[in-house]
Amino acid sequence: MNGRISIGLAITTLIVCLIVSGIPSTFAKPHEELTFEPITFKPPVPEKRTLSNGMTLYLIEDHELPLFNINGLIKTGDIYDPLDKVGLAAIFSSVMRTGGTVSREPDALNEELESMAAAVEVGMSAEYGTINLSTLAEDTEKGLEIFADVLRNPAFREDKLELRKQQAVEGIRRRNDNPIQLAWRNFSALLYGTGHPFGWYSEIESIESITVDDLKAFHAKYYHPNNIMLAITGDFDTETLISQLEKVFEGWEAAEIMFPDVPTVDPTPKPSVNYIFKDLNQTTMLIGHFGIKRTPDFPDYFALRVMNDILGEGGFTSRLMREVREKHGLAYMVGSIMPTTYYTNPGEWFAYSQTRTDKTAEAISLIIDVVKGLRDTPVPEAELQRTKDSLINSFVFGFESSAQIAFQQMMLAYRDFKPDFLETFTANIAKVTAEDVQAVAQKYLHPDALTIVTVGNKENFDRPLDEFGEVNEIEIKQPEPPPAEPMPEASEADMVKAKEILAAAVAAHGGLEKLQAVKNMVIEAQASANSPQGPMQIEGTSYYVFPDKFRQDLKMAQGEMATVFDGSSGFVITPMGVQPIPPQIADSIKDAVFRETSWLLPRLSQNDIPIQYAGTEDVAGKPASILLVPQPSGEMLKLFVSEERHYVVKISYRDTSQGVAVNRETLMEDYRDVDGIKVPYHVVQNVEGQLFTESRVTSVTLNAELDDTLFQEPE
Amino acid sequence: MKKIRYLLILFLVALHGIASAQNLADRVVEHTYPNGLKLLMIKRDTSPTIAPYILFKAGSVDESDDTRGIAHMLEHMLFKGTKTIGTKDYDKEKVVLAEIDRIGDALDMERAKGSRADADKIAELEAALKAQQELAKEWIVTGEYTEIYTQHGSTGFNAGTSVDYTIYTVELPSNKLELWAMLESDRLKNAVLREFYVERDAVKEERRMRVDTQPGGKLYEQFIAAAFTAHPYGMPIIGWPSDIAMLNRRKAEEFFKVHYAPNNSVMVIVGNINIDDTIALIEKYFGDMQAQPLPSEVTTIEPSQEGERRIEVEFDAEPQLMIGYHKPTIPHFDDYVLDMISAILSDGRTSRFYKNIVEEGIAVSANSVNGYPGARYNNLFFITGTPRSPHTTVDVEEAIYTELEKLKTEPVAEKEFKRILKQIDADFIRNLSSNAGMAQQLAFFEGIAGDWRYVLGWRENMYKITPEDIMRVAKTYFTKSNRTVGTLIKKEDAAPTGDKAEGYE
Repeated sequence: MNGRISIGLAITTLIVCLIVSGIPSTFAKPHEELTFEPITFKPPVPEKRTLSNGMTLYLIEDHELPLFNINGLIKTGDIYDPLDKVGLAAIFSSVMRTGGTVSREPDALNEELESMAAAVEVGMSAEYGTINLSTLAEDTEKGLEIFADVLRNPAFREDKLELRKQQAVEGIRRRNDNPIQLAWRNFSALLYGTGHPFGWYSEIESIESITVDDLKAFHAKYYHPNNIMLAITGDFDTETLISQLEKVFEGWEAAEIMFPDVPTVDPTPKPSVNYIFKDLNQTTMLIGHFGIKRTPDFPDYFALRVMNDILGEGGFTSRLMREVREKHGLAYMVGSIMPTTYYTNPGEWFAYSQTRTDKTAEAISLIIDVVKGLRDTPVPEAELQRTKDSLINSFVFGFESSAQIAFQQMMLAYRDFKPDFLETFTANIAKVTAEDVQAVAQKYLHPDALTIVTVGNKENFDRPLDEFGEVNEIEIKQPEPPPAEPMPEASEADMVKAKEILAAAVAAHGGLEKLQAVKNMVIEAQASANSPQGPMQIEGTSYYVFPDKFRQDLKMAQGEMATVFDGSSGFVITPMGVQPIPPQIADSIKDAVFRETSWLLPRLSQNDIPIQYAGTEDVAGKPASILLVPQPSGEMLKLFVSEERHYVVKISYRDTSQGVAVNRETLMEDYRDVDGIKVPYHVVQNVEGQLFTESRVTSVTLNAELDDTLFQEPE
Repeated sequence: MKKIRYLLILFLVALHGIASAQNLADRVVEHTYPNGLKLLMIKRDTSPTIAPYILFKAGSVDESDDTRGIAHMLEHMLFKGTKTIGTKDYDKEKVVLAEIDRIGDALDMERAKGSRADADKIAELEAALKAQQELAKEWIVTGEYTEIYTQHGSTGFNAGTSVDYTIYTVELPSNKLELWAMLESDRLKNAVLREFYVERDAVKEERRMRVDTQPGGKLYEQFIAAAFTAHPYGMPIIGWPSDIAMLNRRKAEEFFKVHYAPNNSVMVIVGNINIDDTIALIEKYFGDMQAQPLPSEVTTIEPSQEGERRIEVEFDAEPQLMIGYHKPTIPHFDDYVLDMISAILSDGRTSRFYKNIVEEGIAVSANSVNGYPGARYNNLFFITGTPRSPHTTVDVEEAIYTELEKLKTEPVAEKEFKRILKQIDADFIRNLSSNAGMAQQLAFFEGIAGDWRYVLGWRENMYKITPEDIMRVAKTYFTKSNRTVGTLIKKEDAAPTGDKAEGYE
């Protein structure tokens, strides 16, 4: 037998389609003698149902294992992120799950799910959101109730949003660690520019601006039953399940949804060659341009599937793999990707490779030649046939599990594929000709209009990159928190009034002379701090040596800890050893010393620090005047001076030392006399409006004899 | 009354688990051939697909100093074809291959001289090698072996090498079982390791990609090398760069001959099969392979650690942390206890690391794994942490130790045990829903634990663990002198030079 026979699978129609390929072979190889029994397979077809509130269901009962699964789709996506809040949709999806529901605290929700080995997870992609439930069949009812609760009543608790924002900021700080991530971010930013969400990346500032209200508004906008599809599979009875679903979604009404316009992309190619320095022995390269936006009637789809497989999506047998890796040994990972499902924008096409630095230009040239080859020459019949066989024969792997089948049906409907897409898939692939492949290569691949991004060390490149075009060198900076808010414009009257209030406060706190005599202060206190394990007791001693030295010794159940700052740098002493303080923490310690009232008041009345009056506000039910004061870091401090007794009863400020901005306030009461000056003995600290610590001072010593070693690093 | 209900619930949970484990026990069919080849099968008719896997108990741990990296290199080379596949005429081709080996050896020897190497001689040998490689192209059909699989609809066609074993994986439409048996037996009997030096270059790129350019990969390599001073578990699977540079076809063939014996392998086929036909088919294609004496196990035992080891790696990346404690491998009872401990520490959002370290904002992630880097020999309880700035690796390390100390002194609550046991039983059921997942799991336990039923006994042992076991095991292994700590430190001096345009960070 002089030829290969492979049997294709025709799914759902039960017709076996036979593909005979006539590949010339010099001699018959043993595997070519094999014949294969045709496969007849009728995969389960999901039943489509609609709930009374408009939610669409794709159901497959599958009783093989006692499991129950829901894969849900919500029409929304990162694509709708506003420019000043890039990252909103992603953070929303994560806090929708971690923030608990109105009636379930986050810990209780986690405990409830994990104690029955179940999971509810929420996700977000560019063009859709997801929510999944996985549970044992015996827990279906409970699982459904929780699933509906998360979907309908997420609480978006403030502390979980804050945590997620901090994690997002850490992600931004780490985004240059990995060369692929670094290359990809720059590639898409260059390609889409600043006018399209696919070119946007979250920055610390955009993350910080996201509030609980934003998350609630996002939920209110998109999460309505008529905007949700569920693929449900497993060990259940359809009619029983439908009534369970009607029950858990009872009272949840359909609503009209206004989808924001997504900016359109200017498809004019803007070829460029870009270089990012990273001192590595391998260059990461991305080479590409805009891809395709699919429409329901998309005649090129099948030819493109074949073309992409031949070019770089077909794994080991694609041309890029064969040429760059198998024939030249220039990469381990090499290939190309052209998403064919985006419906809001054209997406992109790109080839990728990671190649030793001294073969960088050689690899780029090789990749470009492979792309050109597909445009210039028709694909040989054998290669075409092989690729088509591969697509047809592996088609069955889209039907391995009921969950996969139901999800696939739902996804095709979501993306507006033709209803007969799956039934006609193998026949449509079989029809693709070498001319079709060349035509789509010429239509969709543009080797003369490439955006090239390289990450590596050009000192060791084999040839300069300017043979591919003028090289744009991109400098990568470590992202930093946004700058401090500037002080508002102040009128002459506000500045005069500020001075008057300050003078009254200085007098109330003991008078300028007494305050100026304070060179250092040692405060001992007992504090109770809020921690997830409940209140935590801390015993602490703080040493302030003005103008800028500071030490704090804390005793907790977990052990002792000391923070030491000598005015320019500092360290932390823990049972683990001594660790230097990062610069941003050092700045926040400087601010903390600056804020100590007994030192701040005389300093403000003597120096040229601009202060201004900014109205009044009640503190603990009594009116207080607000003074705005710039701190050493540039962050603005608000001092609240009580109108009645002229004590500083509250201070508030923004703290960016944790990477994200956090609003902190300190409430001071129970002022007592210590050697003629007034010191608060009851101090409450709030973070983002939530109680953080409550301290009661047990002793205050002014101008203590302090040992220099207090501020020295232990041997 | 309350107590009785509680007991009843426990009983039901346990019963459910037994049922799922029993389901697995009932479904696995075993067959051992006279040549020692072990075949495990599960018939699953959900779709007309199969997942046939072959595992060889041959990993990087079985290498020697002059063959380090060869297990992985051989895995790559077994995709290059056979005497009939990948060639137009093997008899003519083999003459050129021998010449390539001869020149390649000479070239490697010369390059290995380093600064004392003769540059002219290297250039000459490189040219000669290139000429022979060009000649070989006349006979070689690059990629034919993989093409056949692809054309017939394979998915997941791949292989993986670990310290302990090498596994060859694929999924195919179920009517292609015989094709698989033919192709796999052909490569076991007639493999031709052609295009060796080109593939060796690809492996070097793989090393650059996984290790040299990845902060985590770089740290792990140094960490594991510090944790094991004597046992080969400390050596990188892919080999050090200078090891890879000296690998050749002769070494690969030798490793192949010694380790790829039917009695040193496990074959697992899960999916839409007929059991009897499959047993006969495997006999037809693999029955004539000869059993052979098995290579000796590693006899070096890692000496007990006599003090904390700390290493740092400087890299252009944000900090990361790795901690490892030496401990016994399977089937030591303490290994089960450490599996339980790992679940308590880092499985899910109710886990202690998640609640007390991640939710506290100290780290963006903190995880534990019991049994790194392998399971054939005594291994590590492995912990990783990624600090969230301004927290440092010191903060994360301290927070991790706080959790480990709690395990020593505070008995674990019944509720935590129950949750983990329920997860274990649910996983037994969930694992059955994937042909490939089942094939991987059965191959691993049969190959490494010596019997796939280990997984059933494992479940029983997990049920036996008491709060006292946890405290005893934590006290035994989580000691300062028994640990290795690795930290990735940001290298600050790596700054670009020259004029720069505005960039996107």
